[in-house]
Amino acid sequence: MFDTLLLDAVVQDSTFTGFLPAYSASVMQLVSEPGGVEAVALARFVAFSDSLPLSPVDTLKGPIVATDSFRLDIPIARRAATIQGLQIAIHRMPAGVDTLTAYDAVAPFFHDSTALDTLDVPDTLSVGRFLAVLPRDAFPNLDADGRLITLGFRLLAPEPTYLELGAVESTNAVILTRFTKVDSAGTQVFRNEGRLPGLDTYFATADVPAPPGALVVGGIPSARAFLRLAVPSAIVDSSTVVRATLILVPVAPVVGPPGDTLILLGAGISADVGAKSPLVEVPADSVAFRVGRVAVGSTDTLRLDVTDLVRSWRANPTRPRVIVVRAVPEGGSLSAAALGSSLLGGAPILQVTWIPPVTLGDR
Amino acid sequence: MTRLVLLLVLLAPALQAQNSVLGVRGLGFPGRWSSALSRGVAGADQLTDPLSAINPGAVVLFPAATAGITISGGYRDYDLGTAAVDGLRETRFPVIVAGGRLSQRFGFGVALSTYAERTWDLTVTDTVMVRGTPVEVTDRLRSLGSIANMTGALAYRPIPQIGIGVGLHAITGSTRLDARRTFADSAFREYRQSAVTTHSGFGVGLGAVVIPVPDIRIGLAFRKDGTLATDVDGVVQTDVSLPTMFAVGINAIAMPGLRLAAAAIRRTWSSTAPVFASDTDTRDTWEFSGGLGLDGAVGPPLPLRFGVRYAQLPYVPAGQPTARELDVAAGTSFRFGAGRGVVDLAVERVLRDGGGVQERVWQITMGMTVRP
Repeated sequence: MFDTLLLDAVVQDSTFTGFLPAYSASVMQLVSEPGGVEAVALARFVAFSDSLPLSPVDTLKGPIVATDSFRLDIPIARRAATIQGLQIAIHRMPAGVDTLTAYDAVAPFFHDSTALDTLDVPDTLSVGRFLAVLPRDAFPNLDADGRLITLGFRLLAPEPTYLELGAVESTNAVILTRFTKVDSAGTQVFRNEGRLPGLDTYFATADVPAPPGALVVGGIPSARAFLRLAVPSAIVDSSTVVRATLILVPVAPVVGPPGDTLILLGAGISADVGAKSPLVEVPADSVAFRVGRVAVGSTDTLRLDVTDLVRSWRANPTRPRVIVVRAVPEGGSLSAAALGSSLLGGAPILQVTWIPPVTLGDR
Repeated sequence: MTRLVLLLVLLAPALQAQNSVLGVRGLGFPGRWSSALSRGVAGADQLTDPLSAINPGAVVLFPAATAGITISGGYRDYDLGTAAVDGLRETRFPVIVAGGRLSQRFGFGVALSTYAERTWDLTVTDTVMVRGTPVEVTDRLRSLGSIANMTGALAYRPIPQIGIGVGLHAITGSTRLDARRTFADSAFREYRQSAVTTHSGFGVGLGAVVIPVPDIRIGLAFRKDGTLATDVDGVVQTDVSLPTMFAVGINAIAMPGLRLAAAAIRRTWSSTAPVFASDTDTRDTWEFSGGLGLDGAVGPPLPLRFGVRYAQLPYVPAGQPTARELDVAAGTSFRFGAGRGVVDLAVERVLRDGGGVQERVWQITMGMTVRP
């Protein structure tokens, strides 16, 4: 059994950005860091109706004659467990935001005049949902806006921290429910309808620069590092790899919200077509091995277990010998790592523990 | 992995499909070609026993068309250093024979027997340093299969006192080998490698039975096997020069109802040495056996047989004394179907030692012979 450090295993490396924009991420990260880079979120809900069915078993609808109230169902996907006293400020945003909207366009709306409420996040709630009620007059221009509602979310905290809201891509999204009165042949009946966001996204208040020449992983829109490897055939083709570790060395402290941890994962690709190479899904039982974690502000070396990936190259010689390093969840965090590269120095290293073939037969 | 076979340490084999721990090396554990009848006298009369597959000249002694099958079960335990392993068992069909007479002067026989048994299962636990950290590893090396010996024999009896025969041997068989290493640290994945080895070779044998007086039979056998070609997964790997065998045996009626027998066999296993690893010593072997049979005319109504056998084993760790086995046997027979069917039973207590191993075996062998 041998253990080999392949210092020159990575023959080509590059970074591509834009794989997952913030509006496609499974979570939305709110960051409160006065004086630093902050992040706010938007949710534009699917338009509410002007009439609602009178009976769940009938298609007959009655016009909505009054709004009674709104209920906001907010999913917490992740937070810094040690920070308490978090609040989420809810703001009324212009209805017409879309995927092209930039932070500068919505930033003016995060002020007191648009504030609808400031919600206390239960300190005991690390993952889960909590409810808030908004008054009937929270959206005076509802009909004028085509019954579209867009809300802004901003994190308020006693010290710099972050909180992640579930996004519609994760089926764990913010839900806005409208409680109404509907006219039913002259009688007003209570009906309600809930709406998921048609668009939810988040913005960082500033870009975080990475050292030139570094391999960047994470951030929004998400960046991936592509590593093309040349592993000696005697190891990967003729022998059995029992452990393979990809060693990544940050060249600068990992950027991101205070207290956050960046999770990186090494994935294979099924065909090498450059930046759009399709990733091979990581087997569920390998995810725990395949990821590496590094705290924001740290320059600790990352070690990703890629044993299954390297072994798959022997089983399927046509599979490109490329490892793509990406963040998990991708696009769901401002956190990003700047890693050493062949251009900058400190390029990724592959450490392989392998057993050459034994001679089975007469001896 | 080499060390695994070399040291034979900390063995904890699976509890079935095992043969002798002394059969891990070389071609395996040599097969015995004696019938259950002959096993009762520890093989002492196998040179004059047509149901045994060692002497092609003995097929002239078939009284009529005969078919016989032998099944043998072993129950073993062994000690190696401080390790004690028990509860091992095996079941084999060491000899299957059919033969008869073509005429008053010609006899024939065909036999299928085990040339070398190659079934074993070794597990070794050790700690190795990997990435600067001690990691517990468990190596398991398994072999399943054997080398078989198919014999066709034709014998001629020019005069009633002498029978001479020639045998042609086809040696064939396959072995499935699995090597596996698992790690206590789940960060390391399992290592596994498998291969199927197939063996093929030919040999010729000459044999004679001399009956100088009616109560004495002397058997002589010579066998020269060629090379055993071994393929691993279809790729030719080695050619093993197989041993030559010389054997002589005598079977005499000392007095009515009392038969005495003795045999000596020499095999030149050292011819196989060049292809095996340097950590294995290969030795030529001697085998001696002696026994007596009470056929019912004296003593109890059932025939009884007793015998003692001493045999050397060909493969041993380098520098170790020759491995050996001592075999004490007893047997009897039951007839049925108006004497056309015979069931032979033999019980043997076998003690083996070599390479630091002391092995004890209870071997129970049953043979069924039918003469239509």
